[in-house]
Amino acid sequence: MSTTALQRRRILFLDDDAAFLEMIERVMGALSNASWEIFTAQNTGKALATLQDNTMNMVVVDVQMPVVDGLQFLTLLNRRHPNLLKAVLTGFANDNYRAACLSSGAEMFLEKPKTTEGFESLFATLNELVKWQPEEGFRGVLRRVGLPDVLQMECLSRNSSILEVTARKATGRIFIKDGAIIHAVFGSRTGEEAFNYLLALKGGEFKLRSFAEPPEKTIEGSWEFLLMEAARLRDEIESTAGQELVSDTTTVIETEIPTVEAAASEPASAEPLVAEEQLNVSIESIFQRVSTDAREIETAPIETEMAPVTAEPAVAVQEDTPEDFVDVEMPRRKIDEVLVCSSHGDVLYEWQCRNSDVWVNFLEFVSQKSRQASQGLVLGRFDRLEIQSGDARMIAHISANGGTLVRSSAAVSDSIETKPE
Amino acid sequence: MKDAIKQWMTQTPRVRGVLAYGVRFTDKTSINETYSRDFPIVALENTWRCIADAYQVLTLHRFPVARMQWIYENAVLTCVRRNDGIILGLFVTPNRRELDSKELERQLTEFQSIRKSAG
Repeated sequence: MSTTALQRRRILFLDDDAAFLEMIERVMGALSNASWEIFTAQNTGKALATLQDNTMNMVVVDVQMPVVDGLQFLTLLNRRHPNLLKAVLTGFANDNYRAACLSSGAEMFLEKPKTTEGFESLFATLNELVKWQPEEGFRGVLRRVGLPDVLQMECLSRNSSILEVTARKATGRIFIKDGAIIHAVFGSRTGEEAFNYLLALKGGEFKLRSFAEPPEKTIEGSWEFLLMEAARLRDEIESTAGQELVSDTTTVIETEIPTVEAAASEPASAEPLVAEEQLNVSIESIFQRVSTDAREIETAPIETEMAPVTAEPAVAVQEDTPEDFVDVEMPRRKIDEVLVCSSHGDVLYEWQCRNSDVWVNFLEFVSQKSRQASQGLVLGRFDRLEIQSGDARMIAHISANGGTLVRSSAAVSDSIETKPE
Repeated sequence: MKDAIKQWMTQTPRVRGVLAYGVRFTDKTSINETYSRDFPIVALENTWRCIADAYQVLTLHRFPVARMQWIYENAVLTCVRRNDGIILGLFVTPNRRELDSKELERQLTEFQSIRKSAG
């Protein structure tokens, strides 16, 4: 039975080692019996361009490449192509690195084989992974890819390309030559003004195009400085009331900054926040679970390594009898951190978060793992992950609308509780 | 340690409300028991691999975790990890009235306390 083009899986291998790529193409092609269509890329720029021009089923990445931070690239891939299966194939394997890759969106972490049997095993593993299809819903989908991230990748890789940025019906271009940003244009704006405007856009799509010489060279200076300056200006915009920006030249930038949604049905008005009511319901329901957890008598108390808790349920923590004894072995809890993000990974609300990026990434990871863990099982919709670690608790709630994370710990008691006789 | 845990698994009675369970060892092998066609062994092994990944990532985030519960519409996946890295995972009914929570908790505590047999 021949394998039709429709049935063939498209796999992209990214590795800076040309000889390895040649070998993997030959070996995997033979093992797949033509059921795979194999693409290769020796750098991240080419990989992104290939992904843009071709629909891939899976990308296999060697994260140990010079110049570019492989983990950062994985994160970028995760955001840019959330439906794309990602596997890491590396000659550098240890537990910490593996965890970091998984946390950055890789579905699988594999070591480069050295034997024939190893390659056969590698093929079998990847072939199983590529059959898996992600489901719809919040995938931790991820923040929209940062245009700064892609620019950084292109510059670090010393590539030459054009980044075409489209928002609403307008299109701008950023020209990169040998890793240097040399020109930008958006409407009547050119140079750094156009560059900063494009990077300040809160939405839109962008594409990598082949390089062509621009009509003029309007930007000089290091890309690092340009990105930093653009970030600074963007922060100023976001902190300005009403999201209005009046530049030094009194050019008014649209107050209704388009959102990124791929679906045209999204309103083109300013970035929508979760409705307050919806937000409050979401947070409240999580708070209830966390705050009542210590009072539950249906399940036995949490086992901790540091403070053993008896198996007996709490004697009484009843709201309607506040004078009653509160079991000192069932500590009251305090909320330490709260984060709410949209289905695209935009932070909608945060409270006392030390690093919201880390928690958004974690919600993405939970979303991904909950799906993977349910493969082949009829578990239904995933709702949340509850975690216990010593006195600390965490709830990560995932829905199609977004994610909520609440972290709590035992509160320090400021009153003496006594047992009833 | 594997033998001690295998012995514990054979001696421990089934808890009312448990649909399937398994133990994943640090050498990536696992022992599984299923009470429902909805929980085939092959799928369970994939689940334990995902759970092991989750423990690893949480450790990376400096949130070393002993216990996790993944709450789905049709089942709750309860996982505990021993200090030696061996993980017990159980799929239980989402309906608390159908689950013997007390006995479940006892067994989870017991699992974490299993020691190697002497001699």
